[in-house]
Amino acid sequence: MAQRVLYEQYKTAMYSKAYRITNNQDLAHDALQEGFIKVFKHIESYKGSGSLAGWIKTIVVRAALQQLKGLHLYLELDDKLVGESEPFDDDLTGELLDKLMSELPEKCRIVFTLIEVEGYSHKEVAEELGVAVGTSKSQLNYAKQLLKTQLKNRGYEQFKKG
Amino acid sequence: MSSSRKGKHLSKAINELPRYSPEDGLWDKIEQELDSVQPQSKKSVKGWLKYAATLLVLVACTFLATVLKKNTDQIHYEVEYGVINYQLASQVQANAESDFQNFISIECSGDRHVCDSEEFQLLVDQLNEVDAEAQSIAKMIEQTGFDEMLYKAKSKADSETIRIKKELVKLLRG
Repeated sequence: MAQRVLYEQYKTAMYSKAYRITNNQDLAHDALQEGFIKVFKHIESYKGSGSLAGWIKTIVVRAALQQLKGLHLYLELDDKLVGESEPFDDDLTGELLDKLMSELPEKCRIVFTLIEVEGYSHKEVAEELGVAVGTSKSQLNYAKQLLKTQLKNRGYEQFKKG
Repeated sequence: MSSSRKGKHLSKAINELPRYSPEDGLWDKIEQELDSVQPQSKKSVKGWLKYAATLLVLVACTFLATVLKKNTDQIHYEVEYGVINYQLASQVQANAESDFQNFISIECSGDRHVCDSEEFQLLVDQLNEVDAEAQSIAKMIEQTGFDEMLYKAKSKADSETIRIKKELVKLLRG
C-alpha cells in the first residue's frame, strides 16, 4: 500500500517535528495522525513544485500548531536572563538541547523550533502563528536567552554536585 | 539560516537532536480513519447516481410524453386525412359510377336481349338505389365527420354496389 510506505518513510521525521512543537507525546501523535490524513486526502493537490517532504512538513507543522491553538505568546522577559551576545557553551549536545528546549515556555519554544530547527523565516512564522514579525523575533531572542541561562544554571548545579 | 549566525555549538547541537518515533499503533488509527472517510465518498457517488437515475427517468418520461402526443397528433391527422381520402374516394367512386353507366350504355347499345330482361333491369334499378343510398351516406359523413355507424352503412352499400355490378357484368358476358 503506497500510503503505508509514505507514512513509514516520513513518520519519524514528522513526529519529531510535531513533538518538538507540542512538547507532548499525545498532542504530537494527534498532530501526526491529523497531518497524514490531510496528506492522503489532499495528495492530488501536491503540485510537485517543492519537495514532498517539505509539503508534508508544512501540513504536519500546521497540525501541531493547531493542537496548541489558544495559547498565548510569552512576552514577559526575565531580568536575570543571560545577555543576548553570550555564545552557547561548547558542551551543548543534541540531547541536552532537546531537553532544554522541552523546558522552554510554549510559544517561544515553538518559535525557536520553527526558525532554528526547521528553517522557517520570521515572516513565515508570523504568518503561521498569526503574530507580528517583531513578536517572532523577540520570542526567538527570548528562547535563546532562556536556553543559555538554563545551560549556565545546569553548569552551576553540576559544579555544586562536584 | 547560516551556522555562523546560529553559532557553531548551537548548529552542531541542532544537527544532533534526537529523533522520535510515533507509537506503533498510529498507522492503524490513520488507516481506520481513512477507511471511514472513503465510504462517504462512495456514498456521495451513490447520491450522484440517484440524481442521475432520477434525471434519466424524467428525461424518459418527457420523451415518452412527447412521442405519445406526437402519435395522438398523427392519429388525429390520419382521421382528418381519412376524411380527405374519403372525399377523394367519393369523387373517384362517382366517376366510377359514371364510367359504369357508360359501360352499360355501350354494352346495351347493340340491341342486346339481355339488356331488356327483367333481371337486368331489376339489377340496374337496385344499383341506382344502392348508389343513391351510398351517395347520401357519403354526404352525411362529410357533414357530420367520422361516425362508425355511417361508415359501416357506407361500407355495406359499397359492397352491395360491387355485388350488383358483378351480377350485371355476369349477365352481359353471358
